[in-house]
Amino acid sequence: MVKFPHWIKRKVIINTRFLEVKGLLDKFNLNTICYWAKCPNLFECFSKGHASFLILGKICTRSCSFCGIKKGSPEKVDFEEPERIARAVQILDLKYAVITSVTRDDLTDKGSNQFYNTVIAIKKFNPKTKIEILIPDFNAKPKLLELVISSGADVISYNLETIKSLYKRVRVYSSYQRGFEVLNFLGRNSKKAFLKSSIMLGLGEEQEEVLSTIRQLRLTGCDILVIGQYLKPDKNCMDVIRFVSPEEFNLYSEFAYKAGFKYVLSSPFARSSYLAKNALLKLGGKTNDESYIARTG
Amino acid sequence: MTKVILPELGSGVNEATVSYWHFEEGDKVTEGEDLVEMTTDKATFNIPAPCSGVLSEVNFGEGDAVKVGDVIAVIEEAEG
Repeated sequence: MVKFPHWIKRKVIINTRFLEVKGLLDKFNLNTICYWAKCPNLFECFSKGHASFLILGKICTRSCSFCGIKKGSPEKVDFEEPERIARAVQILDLKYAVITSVTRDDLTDKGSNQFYNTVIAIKKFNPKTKIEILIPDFNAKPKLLELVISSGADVISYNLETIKSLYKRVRVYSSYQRGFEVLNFLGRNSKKAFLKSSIMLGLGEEQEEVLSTIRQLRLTGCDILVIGQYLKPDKNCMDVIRFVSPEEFNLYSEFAYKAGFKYVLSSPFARSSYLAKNALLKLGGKTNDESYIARTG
Repeated sequence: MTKVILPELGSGVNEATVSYWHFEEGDKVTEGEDLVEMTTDKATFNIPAPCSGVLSEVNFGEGDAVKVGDVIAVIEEAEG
C-alpha cells in the first residue's frame, strides 16, 4: 500500500446532487474526464454539480505515461454527442461547462469540429452558460485552432503538463515546442477567450525548471495557471517521484502572480478543471480586461 | 441498520485498502463524520458515516483489501 502524506486525502461525498449528475451522465451515455482519469476530486465536484465532459470517446491515440485514460484504437465519432451534452447542461442547470477530449490523431480534423459543434450546441440550449474547452494540441495546425477559437468559448485551455526535460518520459508522442506553438497561437489570436494552462508536479522536476516554465507560459499570453500534484492513476503509469508540500505550492502561486498571471490555482489537488468556474467569476469577461485591451488594441 | 459499502473510487478501481479506522465497534457515530480511511493507488479517501447511530459491525481491519461493493461496516441507526 502506498503511504501518502496527510494532505493527499479526499472525502467521499455521495449526496442528492452527486446522484443526479451521475444518473444523468449514465442516462445520456456521456463520458467525463473525472471518471475515466480516476480524478480524486470526483466526489467533491459531482456533489457540487461540477463535471467535465470528455468528448470523442474514452480511448486515446497517444500514450502519455501520466494519464489514466486507455490507449488504443479510438471509437467512432458520435455526431449526436454535442446535442446530448447541451441537453445535459440544460437539465443540470450548469452555469459553467468544461469540455475536453482524448487526443484523436486518427481524425483529419483531430476532433476540432466536435469541439466547435459542442460549444455551439451548449450555447444554443444555454445562452448564459460559460464554456471552457481543454483541447489537445491538434498538431498545432492554425486552421484547427482558429476553428475552436471561433466557437466563442470563454476559456481555452491547453495543458503543457510538465517541464521540458521530462517531456520524452511523460508525453512521448507530444512535444514541448509544439505545446508552445499551440499556446502562442491561442495567445495571439484569441480575442475573447482567456487562455489557460496546467502543469503537474512530483514527476522529478527541479524547482528552477518549474519557475522557468511558469515564466515561459506567461509569455504566451496565458492568463490562468493551474499547478497540481501528479498522482499515479494506474499501475502502468509513472511513479510519483515526490509529494510537493502545500507550502511549496503556495510559493509557486506567489511566483506566478508576480510573473503576471491573472488567476492561479496551485495546490496538491488542483487539476485543470477543478473549480474551473472560479477563475472566470473573478476575472469577468476578457473583453473588459484593461491590460488585455492595452496589449492587443 | 445501514450498511456502509465501498463505492467505486474511479474507473477500473476495483478495490481499496483500509488504512485507518476513526472509530471502533460499539462507538457512536454522527452522519457525515469520517468513519474509515481507504487507500487506493491514487490517494487516500475518507468514507463518512451515512447516518447517525452505533457502529455495530466492522468487517475489515486496517491493512485489509476491500472490494467495491463489499460491506465495510454496519451502523445501527439512532432511534427517534
